[in-house]
Amino acid sequence: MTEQRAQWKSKMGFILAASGSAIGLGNIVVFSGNAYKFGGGAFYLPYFVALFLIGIPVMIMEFGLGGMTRKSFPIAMRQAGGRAGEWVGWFAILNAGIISIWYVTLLAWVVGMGLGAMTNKVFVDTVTVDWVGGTGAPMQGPQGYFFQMIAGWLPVVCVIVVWALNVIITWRGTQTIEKAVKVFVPLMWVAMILLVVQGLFFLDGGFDGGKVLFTPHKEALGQLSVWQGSVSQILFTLSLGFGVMTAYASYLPKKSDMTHNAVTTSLLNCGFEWIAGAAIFSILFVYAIEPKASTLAMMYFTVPWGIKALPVNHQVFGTAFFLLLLVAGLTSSISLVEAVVAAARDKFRASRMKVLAIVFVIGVVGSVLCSLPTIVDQDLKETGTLGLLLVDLFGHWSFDTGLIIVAILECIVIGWVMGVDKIRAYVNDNSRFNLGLWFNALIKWVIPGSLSYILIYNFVEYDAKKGALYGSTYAAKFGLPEGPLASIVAALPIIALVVWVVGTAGVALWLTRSKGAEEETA
Amino acid sequence: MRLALATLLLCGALSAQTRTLHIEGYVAGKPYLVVNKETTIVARAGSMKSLTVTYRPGSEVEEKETVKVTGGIAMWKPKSAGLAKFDAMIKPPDSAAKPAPYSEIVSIRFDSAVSLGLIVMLFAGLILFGGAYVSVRALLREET
Repeated sequence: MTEQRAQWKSKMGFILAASGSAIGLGNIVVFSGNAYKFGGGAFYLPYFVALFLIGIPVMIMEFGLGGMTRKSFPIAMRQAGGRAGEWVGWFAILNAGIISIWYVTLLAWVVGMGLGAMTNKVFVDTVTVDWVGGTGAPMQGPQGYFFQMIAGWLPVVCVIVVWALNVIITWRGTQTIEKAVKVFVPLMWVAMILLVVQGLFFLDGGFDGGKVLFTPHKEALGQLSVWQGSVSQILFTLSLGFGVMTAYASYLPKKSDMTHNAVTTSLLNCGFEWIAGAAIFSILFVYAIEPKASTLAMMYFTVPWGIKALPVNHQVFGTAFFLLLLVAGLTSSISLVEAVVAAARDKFRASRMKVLAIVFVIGVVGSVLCSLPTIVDQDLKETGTLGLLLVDLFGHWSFDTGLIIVAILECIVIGWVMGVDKIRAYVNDNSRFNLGLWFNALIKWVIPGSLSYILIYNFVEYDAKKGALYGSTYAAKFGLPEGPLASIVAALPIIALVVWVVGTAGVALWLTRSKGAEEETA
Repeated sequence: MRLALATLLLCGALSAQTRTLHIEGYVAGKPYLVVNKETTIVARAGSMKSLTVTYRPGSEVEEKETVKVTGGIAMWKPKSAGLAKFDAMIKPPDSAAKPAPYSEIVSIRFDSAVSLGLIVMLFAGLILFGGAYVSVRALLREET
């Protein structure tokens, strides 16, 4: 007897879940930093090109795969490209698993900052961080509070709380996820609309900030880094390459309009980003704060510093801001968890409770490691604590590198091995808008080609140019005294790379070779 | 005293639109907002030796401008709206001390209500929200 696959109760539930997955921490804080860095309004041209030529087509492909097979990513990829396809699927899911581990740590730090905002500790002028520089160093309030907090054990407690929330929300799959996103996603929109209205219309000079963010500097268009930045922004912001969108789409009725779903999800995500960019940049402009193209710096230092300058109750406004971040982060992290759970259940027919229990234990252990308060970089030249160092290393491999590799490989499997015509035919059968042959060209040539270029560009820019493995220069910069800690820090970059390769590619190989429930029955 | 006198004299000599900007470090709740194309006097306690303005600091489209400093103060006319960074060498009032570097970010407001930025903002918003509106409306119609 085959178990009936769960389904979304409504299309709106699915759209809210998919857009909630796409809208995360990066949308809220990092878009304004990227737009500012890459030429303001001029960034929008490559951004829209990337959205329509890469983002939406890949999303149609991932939705189409889920809808056509009604399976999670690895099993759907096996149907598309045999064992090699399944390996790509597991590689993506394990990457998503690693991302969820450090992402939950980021959310735990958000909870820590929220508690600090509630008690006003984040918004004091300066905090003397007692471990920085050996004798303590005064820092701007939010930055000081952040480093003081991550060097303590509070984040470890918060990690357990955030993982528990993930498990509770995904407890009954689509049923509980749909209930949660129907509250969380509208809440995010309302909070962000209030923030943008406040920023643009109630701050003296705020509207000018919005205009500045969108003022095009056409010289930016001639720079390859700007085009590369916009493609990365689109790929990461739409939650592509995680296997999440395929898992979510597999819970839709078979005859669903995937083109419509992909366009709606993408536009809602990018619309949210538009609002968030204007809201955040208006505050930064009015208070003359330079934005950073870094999620961490923007989220924990820059935006809270802007909030501190606002003529409002900082405790209330700050707590609401971190609550907004937590909610946005949760709607993303639950989708990562669901992608892993759905894949394991599809392969091994295990009970949801059992899979969730395993995910919870592995997740908590991993996230606790990523929030370890051991101080490794006393002068804050690169990171700070051992946990932050691990987040940085695993973020580089699983997010910056892994997602691009997955997106390239899935285009190859679907475009060349399975034949993109099959997906196109399935999507067109149920869609009001027909995809033409241009879709084939995008999936087979344009997208893998441009993403391969970015992968090589990133490697040359961040790894090869420095002539060393990512993170391997940290140990020398930290100047730790000889001992076990110095040895661990020196070895961590290679350990992180090995763990990432073995934990994704290696385990994916093992999972692909393992017999699934279906094969055993056969 | 000398600085204040020089500032006053310069202020008198310039049009009513001129404003004075004392770069004294960030003060919460008192942001520096200057207006594009409006002559601004940049001054700081002590004697300013040099001033470089970087438009859009930290971006891929940075642009630098060296501003002439006379008598410890600089007359600066912003070239474009946005964020700008001052990098100045300041000689502290204590004459024995060497000039020290000083940096500050300022916000330059637009000199007119309509700008290309506004048009791009509205156009991008129209594409995203117009598209989302049509999409979501079709979805809701299907649901009912």
